[in-house]
Amino acid sequence: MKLRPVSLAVLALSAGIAFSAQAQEVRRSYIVQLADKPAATYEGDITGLPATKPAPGSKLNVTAADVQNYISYLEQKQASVQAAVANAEILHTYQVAFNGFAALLTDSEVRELKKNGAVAHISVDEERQLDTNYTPIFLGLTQPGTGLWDRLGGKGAAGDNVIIGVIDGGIWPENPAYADRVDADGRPTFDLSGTLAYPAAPGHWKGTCQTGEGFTANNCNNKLIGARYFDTSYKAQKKTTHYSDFVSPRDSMNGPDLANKGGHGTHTSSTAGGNALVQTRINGGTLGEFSGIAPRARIASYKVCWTYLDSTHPDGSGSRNSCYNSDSIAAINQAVADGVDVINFSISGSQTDVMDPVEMAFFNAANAGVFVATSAGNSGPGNAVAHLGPWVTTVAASTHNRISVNTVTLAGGASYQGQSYNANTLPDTPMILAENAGIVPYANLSAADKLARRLCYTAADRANPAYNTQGAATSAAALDKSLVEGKIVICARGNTARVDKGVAVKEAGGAGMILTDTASAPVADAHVLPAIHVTLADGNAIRTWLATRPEAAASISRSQTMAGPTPAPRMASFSSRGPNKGDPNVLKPDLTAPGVDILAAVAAGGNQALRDEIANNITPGSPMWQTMQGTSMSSPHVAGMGALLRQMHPSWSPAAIKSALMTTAYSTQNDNVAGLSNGLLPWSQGAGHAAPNLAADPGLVYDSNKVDWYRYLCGLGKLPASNVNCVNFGQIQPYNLNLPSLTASDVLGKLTLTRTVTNVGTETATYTAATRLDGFDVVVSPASMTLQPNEKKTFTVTLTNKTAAMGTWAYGHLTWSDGKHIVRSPLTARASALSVRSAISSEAVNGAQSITIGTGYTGALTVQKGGLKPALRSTDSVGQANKADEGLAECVAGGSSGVKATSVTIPANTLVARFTTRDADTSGYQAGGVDDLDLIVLNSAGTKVGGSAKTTSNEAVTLNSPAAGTYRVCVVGYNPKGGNASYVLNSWVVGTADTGGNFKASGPAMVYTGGTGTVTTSWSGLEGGKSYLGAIRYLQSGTVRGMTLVEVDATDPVPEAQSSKPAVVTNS
Amino acid sequence: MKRNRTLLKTSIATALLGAAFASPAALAGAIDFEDSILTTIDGSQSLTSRGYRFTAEDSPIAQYYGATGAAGGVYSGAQGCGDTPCPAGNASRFYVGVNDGSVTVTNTERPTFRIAGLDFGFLAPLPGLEDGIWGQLRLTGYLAGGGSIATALDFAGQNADGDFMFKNWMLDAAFSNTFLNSLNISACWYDGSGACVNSADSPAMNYAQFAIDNLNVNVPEPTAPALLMLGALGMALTARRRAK
Repeated sequence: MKLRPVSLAVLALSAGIAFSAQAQEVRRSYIVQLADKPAATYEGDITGLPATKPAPGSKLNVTAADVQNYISYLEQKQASVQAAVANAEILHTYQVAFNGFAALLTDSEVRELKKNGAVAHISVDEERQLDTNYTPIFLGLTQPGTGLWDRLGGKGAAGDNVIIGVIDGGIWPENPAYADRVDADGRPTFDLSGTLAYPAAPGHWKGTCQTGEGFTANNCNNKLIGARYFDTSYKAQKKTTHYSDFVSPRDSMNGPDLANKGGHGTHTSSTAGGNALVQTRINGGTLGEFSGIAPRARIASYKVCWTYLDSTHPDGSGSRNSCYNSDSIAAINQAVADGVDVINFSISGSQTDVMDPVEMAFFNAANAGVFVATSAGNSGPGNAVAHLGPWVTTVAASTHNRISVNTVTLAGGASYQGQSYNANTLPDTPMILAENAGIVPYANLSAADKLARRLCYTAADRANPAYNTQGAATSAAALDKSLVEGKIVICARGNTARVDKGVAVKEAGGAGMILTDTASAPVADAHVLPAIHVTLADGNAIRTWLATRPEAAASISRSQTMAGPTPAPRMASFSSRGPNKGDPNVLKPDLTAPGVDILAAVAAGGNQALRDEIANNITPGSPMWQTMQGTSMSSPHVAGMGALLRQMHPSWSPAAIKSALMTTAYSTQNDNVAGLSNGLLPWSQGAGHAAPNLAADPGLVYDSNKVDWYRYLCGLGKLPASNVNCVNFGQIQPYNLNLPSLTASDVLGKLTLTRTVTNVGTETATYTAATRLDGFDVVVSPASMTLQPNEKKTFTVTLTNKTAAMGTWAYGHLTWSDGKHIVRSPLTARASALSVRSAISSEAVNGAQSITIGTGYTGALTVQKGGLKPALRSTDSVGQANKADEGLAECVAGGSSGVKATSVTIPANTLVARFTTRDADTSGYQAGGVDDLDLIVLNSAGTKVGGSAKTTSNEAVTLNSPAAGTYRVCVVGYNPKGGNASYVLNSWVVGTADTGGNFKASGPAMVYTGGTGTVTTSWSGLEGGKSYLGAIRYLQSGTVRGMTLVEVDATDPVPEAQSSKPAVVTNS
Repeated sequence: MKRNRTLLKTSIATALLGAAFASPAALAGAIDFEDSILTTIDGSQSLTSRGYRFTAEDSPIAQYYGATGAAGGVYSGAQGCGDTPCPAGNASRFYVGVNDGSVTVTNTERPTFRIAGLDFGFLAPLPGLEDGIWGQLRLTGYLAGGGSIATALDFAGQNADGDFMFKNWMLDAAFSNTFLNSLNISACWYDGSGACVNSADSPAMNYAQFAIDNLNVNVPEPTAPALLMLGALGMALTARRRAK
């Protein structure tokens, strides 16, 4: 056979950065993935061990003999690998959805395992964070007749027998959202006199109800069918658990102290599958009915997040709630084994690695038929989307249009509408301005105290440096009971959490609060007392009224929900945006759903005494409700929709459910954010806002399964070509993965994408394609297709660059329509002159290898090179920096005790400058702990041109082709262990004149449009134990078109932590 | 495969005849690149292995335009070839020709040599190409007395692991018996019409890339009487030196 490589394909090359490490005998937590398939994926390749992968539409049965035999086999293999590191402390072993183990290992043990052929991958056990109604109405689920609930038999049947596993911070089981009985009115109740509304758990359920502090077997029932907790890796971190937490499946307490950080797992699980017809109660009053998205689904809670003491949390509370990857993997494995149908994972994830261990656990979960919804992250509007696995559905967050409105009426004066979840009407009550509500007259207060008074700080808020940048506030700022008791206090929005201001008023004996906005964007909150949030203009009018009527009174009405005037949905600014930093040829996020102002169940608040009573089963927890925002809140909406679609179409794969939700989605409103973060772009909303009613009957789906995903990972280069799955299944270019989004990051003149659709309709249908992409000629072939029910057909989409500018993204859609269904996919492409990998890495002192480039023009290519240069290593130490701005001001000022500044000269013709610090070089890490140091780089003008702020000290700032000048590199002591840390700053400044290690790099003499070329590079004679950097820069007619860094780390490095500091969604 | 010329024979040859003369003994050997560092070369640059010089040349169209760039190098199967997957079945070092370039082989000591065979494979520009025959390796020998002789053979396809393979090529008698001044090795690429192209008029688009190893070469062996005479002369010279 003679083949013509008509389209030799664009490169999908990923950059790996490796650093060196010194030998330590300290043990750290790692996740070790082994080469054998886990039980959820195993297909019987080994003689004598039959396949254990479940058939499509069925669940893995872990009690089956074949599965047990295969798990025994995996355990033996794991034991033999573990025997090579006999002193290691094993934290978890995994066999079901992920094959491997988590262990505390020394550096030398990691190096030993790197050499072991049975080991597929080793990664650091990273610490992750939780990404922090009536949305069923907004989503159209409640529409009579046509809404998805009615089509499934009504809210009493929607989600029936579907099990949603929620991997999160636990659950507060006393909320009626989890009751399995109903009262005489049909409302959920725990009262044993009520009628049992749910039968026993579905037959495929194999989970259990694990007991512990404040959690007995009685807390589970036929609605909350299972609960477990996973704390092995958390305990190995030796944190001090905050009093608000429980060693059990129970969620941590939620407020009133800011350090009580629970409630999240209760919020997400009740959103996804909480009961319908639940009366929400806030402060003793009722506030309408709540329902989860799949109200009849069963819930299984898997607690993996724990609240512990942490003085570094930027909110100043002194505590943090974190979730360790290896505990999450254990929970995912267990959930799959227990038989869940859907998983919700509202926890942050890798922003760069498609094969992060958690993503790989989801790979196997999806392969076992489990639909997985994950949160895109709250680091928006920057490019920081997480959860990059194409087998999960990654959910962005946007607004809904339901607002909770109430009214403040001035006695004898005007009325003003505002927002609040206010359950109780407050009759005419005297008012007082916060400014006047303290003993010390406002005019005599310091600037800091004035702010604290006017913004109604609690005592804790006054002590919190994050809210007091003008200096510490004192008790002189406090609201005083003698002035406030029985009154409505008028507070201003700003700095502290909005609900905290209500707490401050209530603590001072106040009866209500009017919160005045800084502009015109009031937000509905569930305050601890009757309250209303009004616009700045209305607030000023109320202040003016009060100024001349010191005895004036006002009343605050109970809230009502209604459709608001603001167009919705609109992307939330905090929602993390794409492009996908692990693979720009796969669109992430996948879609958006409501994640702003979401009311759902939460854990109750309280103090240690109440906590102890609950922990000892003396007092039951009380139900509580709260609004939250975040992609954490949007993800369970999609998990709930997945449950509804699973019920309606039991044979659909997770990928088919995802496709149905994406191709029927609609565009959000313009959020007017500039540039690539604009809400109308697919980087923000993915395929659009989910429309579950349409998703029930999408017409066509873009299906995919394990074979497609392996081919994708092989084509992406994440799995080597020699990997058994690449051998068995082959590989595809990443842009050809059969997703319902079409994304091509490098169109080198012309590119053809391939997709296959399946007719999931009940009738034979003829679909016609329509498409447009500015700057490109787009040809869909065939342009029309007739498909019988369940028939699959393949088509191609060929993009030819006509006028598209090089390096600029173009946005359009591909739409198939049969006159009844509209199947819409985002089509996103970027024309390129050159496609090159950003870096190659090696650990060899003599090497030669190719870098394949994709080229988008015909002609000559010029290559410049510099290096290889060893790192310049300078040792120093640093104290504690100002956390509020992460040390930036101190860096700009030239350094301080907490920010060490170094001047670096960047000469002309510099190709690359790189500055790094590494955990292995810091004193705290060497002592067995962790230092959190960061890096900031300023240019000659004092402008920040680079920064790196990970959760440990593995920081790197790389400046490609920097302008000449005198730069400043600052090492920031964000959280040095014990207040001071020594470190080593590694610096490389590599220019075209630099040579070393006989480094050679040359490109092809000629390149061709749509073709490839081989860049050769080699080096020799490098000294072991050092880390080197070189650069190759590519030019077309004098214009720089790309650069490849050459990293040679001759230090035999071990894997390192790379988590970014979590984003905090503020409610201030 | 290691060369089989022994140290003893080499030292005898050197002692008797010096570097200016060809060695008279069994001179067959394989050029295996194990004596080279891992390196890369552009058009007109060269490297040596086992007494042979390998001079890289740019693609025909690049030469036409007077352009030069990456054309060859020595890679290691054990270390890997980077983005261009190494042909399977060879963990040792071998020569690669890239970007439609060729390589000219000469003996550093003797004016002529013969080649009986070699191992060769397709150096694919990317992993994941379909299995098939993508091109040919082309050998052109330039004869001592002028003129040339040419032959070509298809690259191997893929093994069960999806990797293109090395294969062994035993050259026919007409080629292997011919003494060459130099040998040019290049690749061509099947352009879809059945033609295997790599010329200034029909460029191979940087797809004509190859790996070669274990070139089974030999140099002219003197006839038996001549060898004896040379041996006698050598002994005589040695005797005269001792007598001094």
